[in-house]
Amino acid sequence: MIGDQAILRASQWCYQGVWAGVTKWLCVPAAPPELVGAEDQQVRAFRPALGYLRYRKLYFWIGLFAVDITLVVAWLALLFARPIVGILLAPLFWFVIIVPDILVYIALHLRYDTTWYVLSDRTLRIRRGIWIINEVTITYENIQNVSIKQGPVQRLYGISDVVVQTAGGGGAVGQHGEQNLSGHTGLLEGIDNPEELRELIMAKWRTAKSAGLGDEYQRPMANAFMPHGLSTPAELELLQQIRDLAVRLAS
Amino acid sequence: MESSFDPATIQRPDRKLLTYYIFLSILAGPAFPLVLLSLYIRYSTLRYKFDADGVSMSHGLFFRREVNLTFRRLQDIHLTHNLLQRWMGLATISLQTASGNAGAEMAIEGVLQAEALRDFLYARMRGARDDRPGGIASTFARASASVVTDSVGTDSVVTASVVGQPTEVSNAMHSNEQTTALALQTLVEIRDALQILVNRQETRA
Repeated sequence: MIGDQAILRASQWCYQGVWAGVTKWLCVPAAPPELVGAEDQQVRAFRPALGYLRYRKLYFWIGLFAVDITLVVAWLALLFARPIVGILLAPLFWFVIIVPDILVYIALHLRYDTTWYVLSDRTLRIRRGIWIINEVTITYENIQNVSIKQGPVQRLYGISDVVVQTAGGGGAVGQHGEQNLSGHTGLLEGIDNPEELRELIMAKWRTAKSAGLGDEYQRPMANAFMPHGLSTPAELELLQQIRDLAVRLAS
Repeated sequence: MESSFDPATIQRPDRKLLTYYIFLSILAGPAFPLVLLSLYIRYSTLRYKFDADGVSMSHGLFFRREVNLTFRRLQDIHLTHNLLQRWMGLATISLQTASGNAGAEMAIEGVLQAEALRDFLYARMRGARDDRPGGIASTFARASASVVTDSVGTDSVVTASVVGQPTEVSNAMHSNEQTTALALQTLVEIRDALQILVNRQETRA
């Protein structure tokens, strides 16, 4: 038990070192993205749910076992067939078996820690990536559709993917959205309350008058005072009287 | 934030972009000279023009390209920077409109204050501000109401005695019939006020 704690603390300490290096040398910002410059209130920044990290780790362990068992079997076969070659190649094999796993495991955590979703009352902003940092800014008003996706394993972890799309065509959305950098799409992975997010956007749609294509707002004020225009003779007469008075005043 | 940053001053990409392009062309390997040449032409002919409504970008020597778009029609803004760009303080801002292609309609490169520019664009994008009709209509109603009270206020001695106080038009929602009746009443009041003014001017003359 104490050993576990020590390992946990040591790994946390190591990870903090890695994180410091990443933020310093790879210039990855440690703070969540900010929404400034517009009338944003109630800005909320959050990472994917913790279930998302566990979900990714599940796939990591499955992949790890599949690859490493193959490699170990291959090495054992070599060892029995050609003992000398097997022993000579042992360091290489074990390097290939162990080191990439550690790197991938760290990358998994880094990816989780560098994924940020920022929601304001008008906009969502998504930041993702370590080597290539991509920040997407989409106003709710421009969003054309919202879809919620959940696979069986994701359901096990209580997470869903929320995909928002703006107008315009474009590339297909990948199954897991890994390389989904196509425009017109905002991908929010590992959301544990997708309905809340959907409701937030749909509430904006209900009040929005535009189609989210940059179109002019309908301005009902032009007709608010005269819903059917000045069509009745009485109104016209009144207007003419006003005009005549104004003319007399001006002359 | 925006006060210290004026996008209208951005006309040429920063020199750092050329350095970045040289690195990029080195990465291209054997195609280095060709890539360098095309990127150099791109760098040296790249022009930006920001105005009140939109932005235009042009580049090219033999094959010229010019892209114009309005801020209002922006669909989404991508701010992307890879490791090399981050080290050099550069970024790519990709602007998307509702056109059919998946790629960005405009990729703004070589701007050092990329975050500030992104925030500038974001502030002008549809939906980023509360410029919905409700806001405009209510402001308009308030403005016109104050105009009415002001003009009455100056002539309050005359108008108050003859016409009386103008009908109070509240900003609350009225049904169509109510609105018509109120509009008609407002017109009557305007006519009466004019009549008073005309009478007064004619008695003076």
